[in-house]
Amino acid sequence: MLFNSIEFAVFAVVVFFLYWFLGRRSGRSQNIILLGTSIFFYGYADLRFLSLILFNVIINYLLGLSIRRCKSESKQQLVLITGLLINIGILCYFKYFNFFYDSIIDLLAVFGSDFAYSSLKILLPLGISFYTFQSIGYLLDIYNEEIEPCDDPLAFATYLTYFPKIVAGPIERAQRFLPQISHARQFDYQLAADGCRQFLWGLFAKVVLANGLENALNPIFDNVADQRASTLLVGAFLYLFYMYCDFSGYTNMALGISKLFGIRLSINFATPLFSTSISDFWRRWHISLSTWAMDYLYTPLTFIFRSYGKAGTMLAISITFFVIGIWHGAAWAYVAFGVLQAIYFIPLVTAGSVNQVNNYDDVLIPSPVHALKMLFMLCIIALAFLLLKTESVSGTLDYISAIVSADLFSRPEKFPGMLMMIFALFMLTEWLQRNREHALDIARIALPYRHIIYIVLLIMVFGLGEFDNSAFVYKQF
Amino acid sequence: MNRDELSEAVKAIIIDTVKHDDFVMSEELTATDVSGWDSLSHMSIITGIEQKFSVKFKLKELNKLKNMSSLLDLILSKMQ
Repeated sequence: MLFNSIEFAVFAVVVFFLYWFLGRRSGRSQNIILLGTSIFFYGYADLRFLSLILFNVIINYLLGLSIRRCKSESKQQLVLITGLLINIGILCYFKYFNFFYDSIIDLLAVFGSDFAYSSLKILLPLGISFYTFQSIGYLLDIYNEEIEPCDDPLAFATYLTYFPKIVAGPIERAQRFLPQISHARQFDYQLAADGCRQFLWGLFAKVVLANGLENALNPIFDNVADQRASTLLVGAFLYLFYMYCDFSGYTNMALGISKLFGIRLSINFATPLFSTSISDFWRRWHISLSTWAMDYLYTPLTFIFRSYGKAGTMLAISITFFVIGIWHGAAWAYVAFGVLQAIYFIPLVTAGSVNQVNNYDDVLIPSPVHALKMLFMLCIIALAFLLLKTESVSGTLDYISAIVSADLFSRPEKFPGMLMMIFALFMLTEWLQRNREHALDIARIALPYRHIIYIVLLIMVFGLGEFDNSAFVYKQF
Repeated sequence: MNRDELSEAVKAIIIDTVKHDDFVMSEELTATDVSGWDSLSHMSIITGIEQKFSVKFKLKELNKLKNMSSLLDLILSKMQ
């Protein structure tokens, strides 16, 4: 049930009325409705793995309580390690079994083995990467005494299964989410209206831009060998723009829907295409994943390696991005994606400027230096994202080598001019609104002008948008 | 070293890490009050403090820090 489908529109309206009319008397009844509808939502999308997510809820609820009940540090560690092994074990089985299995067989083949095999057909449960990371973070926070374990099974189950974030995040922290559902929520018109605006902006990004860009880039990637170099260069940027519109569009819809129920989810994007360095980019792209990786991987690793100076920082960054890379999928191309990100960090680590924040929040027009840095970042990120598109290191290298040729400066055969004009307006709006939670945060604008903006966007959504197109790309991760 | 001297020395380490002094040092100061003091820079500051004062922290101790006051308390307890 995609956010941009008729089924979801009906579902959301039903949940909205159940939640605010039947459930308004107590937080508990509101949570029962959210849990029941979330289970329905998940089961509707993937009934086979409903039992898996419910197992995840039960086991992590009990592990959380067990960590706190243990008196000694060593017993707490034992329960924590058990919990981590269960969560990581389940994730590895469903997501990485075939990858490891195939890699071992390939390795044996290098040494002359002709072992005949066939990969097992293990299906990927919906949202497993997202809810597993939430569960791991929850257990680590309890162990580190940053939060108390949730003693309300209903609230905990609602936290892990909450339907706006179950498919593709944000990877929500318990300490941010649970306090919001510990009491009865009162309907907040301003918040709900802002949620509708955020949803509309996300819907526009998804159905007009992401789906349009996907249609434009697929013919390029389907037949790389026959394309001009200039067309391939355009294709690489189209894919980056597509990824941003698709994932930020999904996130804005998820955050917008959640506001209708009085619950704020974490911001996941902060105009990453305006980044001026690689560390700046990872502070702005998929923020809930990058902060998760920073807090639960990078920080402990830098703590462990802290006496090795810059080499320790580089090692911590490498391991962190290896995990971020492979989190995206079970293939060597994703590992290469992570390694490439770590390589991008080398100049910053060497110069000691990893922590430097590029502050251009109060300028209308970026300086030439900022603009050049942004352009450079767009180029190297587009290059890295080719690995995610081709899902192959050799395919990416072939693509790049095809770009470096004499007809790079020829006119590209495929260039979606109209779509790029709309995208440019979209990016201009995001630039002007970059200090706000989302680009359509326009409550301060006079009502008639706001209505004009809504009408223009709705006309574009229903006039130009494609609703029967693909699912959200991050759903597969 | 008294608390004020310690506070000044910690301030110098923070400035050296985040590359600016656009913050007011106080007992209530938190990382969110200092632009650039994020997950990436946090460990650089901690390592700087460990080296400067010849102390060793545990990760769990760092996770419990609430503000500058608790950081100074922790350093002083280690130095005794």
